[in-house]
Amino acid sequence: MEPGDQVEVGEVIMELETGEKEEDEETKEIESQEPDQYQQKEEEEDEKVQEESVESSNSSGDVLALPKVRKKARDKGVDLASIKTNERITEEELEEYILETDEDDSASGQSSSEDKDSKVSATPSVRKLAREEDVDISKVNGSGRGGKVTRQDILDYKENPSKPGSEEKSDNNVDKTCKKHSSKESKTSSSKRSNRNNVEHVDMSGVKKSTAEKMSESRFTAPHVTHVDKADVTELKNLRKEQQESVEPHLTYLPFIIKAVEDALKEYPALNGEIDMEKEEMLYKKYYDFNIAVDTDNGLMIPKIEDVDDKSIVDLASEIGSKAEKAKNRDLSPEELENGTFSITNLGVVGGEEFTPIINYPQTAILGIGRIGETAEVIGGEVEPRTTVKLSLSYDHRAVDGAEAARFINQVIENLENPEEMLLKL
Amino acid sequence: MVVGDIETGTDVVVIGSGPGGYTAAIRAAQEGKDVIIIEKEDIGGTCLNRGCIPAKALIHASKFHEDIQHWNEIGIKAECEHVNFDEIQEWKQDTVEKLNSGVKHILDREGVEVMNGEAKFEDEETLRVEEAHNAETVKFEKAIIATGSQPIEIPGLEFEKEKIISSKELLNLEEVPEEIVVVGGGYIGMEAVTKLAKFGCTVKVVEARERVLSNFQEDIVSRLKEMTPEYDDEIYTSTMAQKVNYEEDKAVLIAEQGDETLEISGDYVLVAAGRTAKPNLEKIGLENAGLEINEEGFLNVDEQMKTSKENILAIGDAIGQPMLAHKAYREGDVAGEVVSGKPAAFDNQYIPKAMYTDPEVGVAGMNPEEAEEEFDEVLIGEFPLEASGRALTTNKTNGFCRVIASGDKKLQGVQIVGPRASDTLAEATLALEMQAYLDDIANTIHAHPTFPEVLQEACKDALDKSVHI
Repeated sequence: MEPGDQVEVGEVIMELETGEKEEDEETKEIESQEPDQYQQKEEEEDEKVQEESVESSNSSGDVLALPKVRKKARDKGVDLASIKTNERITEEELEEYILETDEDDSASGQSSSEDKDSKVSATPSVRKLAREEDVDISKVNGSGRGGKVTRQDILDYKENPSKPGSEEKSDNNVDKTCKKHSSKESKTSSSKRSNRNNVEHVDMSGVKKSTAEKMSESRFTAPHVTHVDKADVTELKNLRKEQQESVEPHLTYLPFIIKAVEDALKEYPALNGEIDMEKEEMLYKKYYDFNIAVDTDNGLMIPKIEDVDDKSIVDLASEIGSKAEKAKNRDLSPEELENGTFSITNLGVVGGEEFTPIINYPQTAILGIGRIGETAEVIGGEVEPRTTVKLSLSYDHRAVDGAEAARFINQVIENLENPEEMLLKL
Repeated sequence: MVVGDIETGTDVVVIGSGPGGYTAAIRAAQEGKDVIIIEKEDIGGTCLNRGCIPAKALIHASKFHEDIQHWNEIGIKAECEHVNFDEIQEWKQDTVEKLNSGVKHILDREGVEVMNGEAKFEDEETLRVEEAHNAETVKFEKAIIATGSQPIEIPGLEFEKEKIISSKELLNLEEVPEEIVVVGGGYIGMEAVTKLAKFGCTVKVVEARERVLSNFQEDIVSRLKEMTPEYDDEIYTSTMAQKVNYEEDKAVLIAEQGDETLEISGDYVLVAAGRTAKPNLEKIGLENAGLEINEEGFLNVDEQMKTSKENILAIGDAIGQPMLAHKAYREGDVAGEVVSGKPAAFDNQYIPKAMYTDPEVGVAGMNPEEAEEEFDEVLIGEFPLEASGRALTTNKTNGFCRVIASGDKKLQGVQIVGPRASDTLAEATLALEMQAYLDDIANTIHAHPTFPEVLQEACKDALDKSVHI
């Protein structure tokens, strides 16, 4: 595959605020975050206390300490005899000891509050349901008051454990559970359960976070419809081959597609627009800045190609090549990452016939390009091998009607199927 | 080998028939397992035979004695001729036997086989049971250890069961002693004060710590002392019991309070210094099954009650504090289901504690200090029983209900001091376990006039919308 093709991919698009380099991703390994519900977390019983006091009464004869220090030691559950000192134990020494032992192992009565902190907020029957459904309830983000996990949350999680909401919860839990794990000798838990907790936690990169926000905003603001149709690009393929040798760098399909789209947009301006619900108006943009989705090691980037209507196929080919390279090296300036008027995502170079791209909001449409390859087409009653591509157009149904979108795609297909005519028009 | 040695095979064997053991056995049997339960003494264990049940029966009886004074105040003229302690004991024993035969009946109905004897592991799947006149070998798939606990012995105050007694002998006294020395001011000790003082016995409490009931909050204990003078009468705190001397028919406890040596005499010395699971565990041959007792004297288990051996479970006092029958009941349920292949787990977040003093004390969840440490903002609501219609109409107005909530109004703890506190505690624990918020309780209609209304009123107070105070 040509170098240009390899980078012009990405299933969806977004706007990046900056192109600056991210810190190395920080990874955290959590071995187990099983909430150890069953511990001696409750305060000890009277009996136990009495037992201790009896024990300490036997040893306290050897220990020198003021009554207030003794009292403190008892309150904190510290055996004064275990503090090494030559003389009388001072309050400071006791405090120091408590601090040290808290760090080492806070498995004393003092840890009760910490345990409570990590209690799962769910009713007993919901906890039981989680066990029956084999769901680790500590991973479920509750939808109830104060994050309370409901029956429905368990069933939803079972269906789709990777819901973003669910992960958010476990991220929040990282600190607590780490602390808890190290501070407590965890009781034997079944190996099945500990496997479930063998999860690597990786912080989201800036690109990922920004992508996530943009995707959600778009998906939950604009009612999406995806329209799919097929274009026969056999002629375009031949034309491209002819031109290939005369053009530097490599000539891909993308510049032709950009041109085909740009031409159709002039006829169907709603797809090169924006909708302003507040002012209740449609904006039809008379300039044509395309965002092209690029897959990089750090995530999705969508550099902007300005004024595609003023550029030749060759200009476009070279600009796409350089922007893709810059995206990979993270050298794109914020201006080069601004939101344009229309977006194209060429996922087909990686694989896939058709898909449902998410609109690069506030744009109103995005074109997804499927794999370009040979298919069996019926032409004049005969089956012929033809080079075809599926075009997946997602559009904001508030701004664009279905028939309008279909006509637009028809125009794009016509342009692609008759490339020479299209190029003449330009 | 003993003559008549036979080998039996079973799905599940339960060692010990206390609240945890019999619950586990019945649950497993209900799930279709073949179950054998082994008991060396009485079915029902400590709780039923020599703990909670007989103790509460005696406390119940002791309250009537006191009530007579109130009857006269409200126009029911009567006086107590005398207390026939024998008859009280007989009634108490009847109650115990009633419950006892109830448990036996259910074990029988569910097809659980009861073996009387002492069990000892031979290996991970074999137990040997020494019965009175023969011995049996039991091959099992799963075993549940529910061996319970027994009173701790203090060096110098070893139980000889004549003068130095444990809670077990106390419950079977033939008459009310004139005076008794109680070593240990925990709840077992203070409940002993409750029942004996009301029958006219002088109770002297020796406590090693600076105050009695030291793991209940100080203000709860001081309220208790204010309300009921016998909890404040003869109490020796920061006092270490050393040994017992016998003088005529009295036992004299020698104790040290600072530099002073005290001699405290009574008809009996009750040692109520807590309970230990270790001696019972040491008798069942754990090493043969590859199990170890941990440093604290218990067996380690996971939340499914499994020990380090997948097929051997342990529940109740054998696995740790708090040693409470209701904790064991729940663990018994879990163990019975786990051995039947169900995905049960002990995931309880709250273990309520009730103390049968007069008035009663019931607590669950965090106390205010713990909540202050845990949360930035803490809401506290209180309702005094003096303002409760039900309390007034039953002449039991001593006490209060306090709720502790975090700033987001989620209930975090409940403390109740008052009549029927142990009953009201049930609603409080349910609310906690159901993750309730203050308004869940405040906005629930509570029947009037009842004691549990105090919980609703305290929640309203925490929300600053109390009507009755």
